[in-house]
Amino acid sequence: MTDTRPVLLVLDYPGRREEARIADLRLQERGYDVRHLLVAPFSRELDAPSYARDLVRRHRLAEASVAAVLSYCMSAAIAQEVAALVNRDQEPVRVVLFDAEPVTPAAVAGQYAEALRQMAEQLDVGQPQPWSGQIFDEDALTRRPDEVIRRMRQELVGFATSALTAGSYDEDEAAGTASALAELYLDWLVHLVAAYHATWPAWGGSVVHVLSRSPGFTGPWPGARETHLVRTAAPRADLLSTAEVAAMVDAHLRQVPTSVTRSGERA
Amino acid sequence: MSGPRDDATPPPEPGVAVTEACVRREDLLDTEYEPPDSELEARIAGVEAAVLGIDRVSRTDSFFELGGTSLHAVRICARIERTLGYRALPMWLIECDVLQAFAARIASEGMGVDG
Repeated sequence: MTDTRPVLLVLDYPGRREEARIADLRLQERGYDVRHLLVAPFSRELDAPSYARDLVRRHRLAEASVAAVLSYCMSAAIAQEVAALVNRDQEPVRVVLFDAEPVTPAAVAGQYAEALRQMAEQLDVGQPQPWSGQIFDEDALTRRPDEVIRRMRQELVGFATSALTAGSYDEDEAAGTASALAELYLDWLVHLVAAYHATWPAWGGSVVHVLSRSPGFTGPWPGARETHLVRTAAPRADLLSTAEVAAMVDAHLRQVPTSVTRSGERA
Repeated sequence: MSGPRDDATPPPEPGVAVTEACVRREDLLDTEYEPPDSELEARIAGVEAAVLGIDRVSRTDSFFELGGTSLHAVRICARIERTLGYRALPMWLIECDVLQAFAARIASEGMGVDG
């Protein structure tokens, strides 16, 4: 029997975090075929169009009839590229973003520093000096993303190897464990670098941008025909576990967008 | 070498306490223990318990709620590959943090390392 459920593509990077996830909206219980695109092994493409093409290929979406793409936080730029790739019907694919923001060099640097902090905590050693700050300037990130990633990998592996060796691992064990640990963080950092290298394609559709009460990006979404901002009273951590948000998204996806526009504002 | 070798201890058989464990599961969680539903679940539970240093892992337990970190995920997956012969990506454990889901992921995608 043919599955006629509307297909929703979700880009919400996995991992433990305080904030609820798009999965917590439980949209499959409202009759959707929900497909999570960000699953391991992750793409290592360093620009958003290539990363998106990789996702479409891996998940065999070339022929899929997609109703909407949903994305959280800094994955939004890649979600938009995915929307452009699967946008083949007369009606443009809908894009729903949650607390979304374009990736900046400062964001990449901040997440790299967080990776180092987490590794230091897990390895029970002091946090290293921020020796990598200079590799995150806009010029380096824009012109040589491969070099930025290479240096991040080198430094993450070196840091972890030193800590593990000092902690009585032998060299082979330390090297293998350090490499695997670094790759976990590099998956995320590559994702951010790819999102930074976005083309903001105009796929013909509009964006519904659902915001928690925390400060965040509220500008018109680049490339969108129009941007509907939906402000909620939810704390950032609870945005995606709020029943009203799930109901609002469902209503929007069922082409009853009045509740969206009524409660929101047009950017 | 006295370091934390990933393959130092063979995976326990179902129902056998992990000798290197130092913490009781029930000291960490209030939820009821559910035994493994298959031999694979049991062996993966044994590996998780050994690496996390607890006496047992319920099939409904979240790796994170047992104190699991990225480093633990790396060590657990390395040990699964060495001792059970299954491919296991650390990110699978982070995506599927509940034991039964992690075991299902390995069963479906973790083809035998040795063929």
